[in-house]
Amino acid sequence: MSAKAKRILSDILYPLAVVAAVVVIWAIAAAAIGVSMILPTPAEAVREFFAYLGSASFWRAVGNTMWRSAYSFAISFALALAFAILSHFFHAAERLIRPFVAIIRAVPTMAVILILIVCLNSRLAPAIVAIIVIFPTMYSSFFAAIGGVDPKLIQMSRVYSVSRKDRLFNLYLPNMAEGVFEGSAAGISLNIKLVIAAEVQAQTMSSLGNLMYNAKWMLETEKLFALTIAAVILSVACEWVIRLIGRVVIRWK
Amino acid sequence: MEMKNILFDRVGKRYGDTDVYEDFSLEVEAGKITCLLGPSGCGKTTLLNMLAGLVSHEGKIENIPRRISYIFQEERLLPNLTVRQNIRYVLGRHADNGAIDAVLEKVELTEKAEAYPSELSGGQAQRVSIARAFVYPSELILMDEPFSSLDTALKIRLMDVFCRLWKEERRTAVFVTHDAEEAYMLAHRAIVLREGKIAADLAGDAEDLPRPYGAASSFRKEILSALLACGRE
Repeated sequence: MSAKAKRILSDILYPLAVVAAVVVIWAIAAAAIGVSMILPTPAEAVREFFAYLGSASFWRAVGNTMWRSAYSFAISFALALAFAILSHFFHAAERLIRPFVAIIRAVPTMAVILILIVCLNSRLAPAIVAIIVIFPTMYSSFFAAIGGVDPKLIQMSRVYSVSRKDRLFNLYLPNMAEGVFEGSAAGISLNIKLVIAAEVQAQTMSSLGNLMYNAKWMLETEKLFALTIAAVILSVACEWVIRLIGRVVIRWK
Repeated sequence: MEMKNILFDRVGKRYGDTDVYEDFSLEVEAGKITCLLGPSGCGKTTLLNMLAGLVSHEGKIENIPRRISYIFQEERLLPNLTVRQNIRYVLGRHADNGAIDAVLEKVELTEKAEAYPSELSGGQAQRVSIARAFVYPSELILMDEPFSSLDTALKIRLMDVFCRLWKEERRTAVFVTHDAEEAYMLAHRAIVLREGKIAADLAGDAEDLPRPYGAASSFRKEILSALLACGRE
């Protein structure tokens, strides 16, 4: 077996083994408790999950949650990238942005959710919550990535008087791409989780968070687990797509 | 293009409490290859970096050309750009595909034009670096031990490539090395530095460059003697 085939196999086998271990532990715990209202079996949750797949309201909820996650992530990404580049090139900008980011990072997530639910409507609040929490994380990640660009290449570019535009597009952006994609892959999962958490608190109509909230109130625990499975699948899929795009973009490695 | 001698006039450079140069004066002849030799830490690279504007200094350096090419010890190619794109990167709006093709042909890398640096050997990457320096419309070429990490056969081949390209326009070149053989083969003039001062200033004979490897020559002996004297003092 070639090294590449071995690597691909291990990329699939290890995550599958982890999932299998979680399911086994879950099944043992469910059997021990014996009350599906408290902890349903994996089979019950999976059955509910497939039932959801045939429901139009579920897909509408998924669509709304994903749209909220997508645009909040896109805004966080664009802001973080722009602010990281500004901070790297202009020390005055860094001195202004750093404390601002530190303050945002220090504010407790739950406080942000509650304040925004009061101030904004329940459809917008989850997206803003995600931006406020995700932006500082991505900013730090992108700022580190731009700082990691090889100083010897920067020096070479200076000697040859390469224009700022060419340096940005040919030196900085491509050489920080690995860090950007890594930060984005981690950020998207957190973003989806935050949007759902805020939707639960805000009781945003027609959203995954709202479906979870209703399932909890109705003590339909197997539905809550089925929706959690859906959220995990969406997060993993988005992370995988970002990593795939990263692999295509960073083709020179 | 009109080239003038570069003049170091009582130049000073400090790193912390250490004076690397103090009242240092030197005239670098235009259109010639001047080699700077000396033990590690004597300030050879600092001198190049002062010329390149990469480090500040006291005193005056006159007639530094506006455009400078620099062949570094490592090839310093952008990993995300192909060989052709790496050369185009430094040319910017001066980029001319014909000139890039021509210089790649001269360094025998035409077939590697679309390869990424990770697909090149050390020697090929350094040839790209040399090609980049020569295709860039500079009046001064700086070289910081560009052959130091290469084996002897490859070193001689690259020196030959360098000289072929240099003879086309005879730009002013300042070449830093710690290897007496390299200085003998490539330089019109060898300056041995010691603690920020000129320990020896040696003019080469009028032979065609590169001079043959390992040949017996008074210039070569003088360089070696000066370097050995630096080591003894």
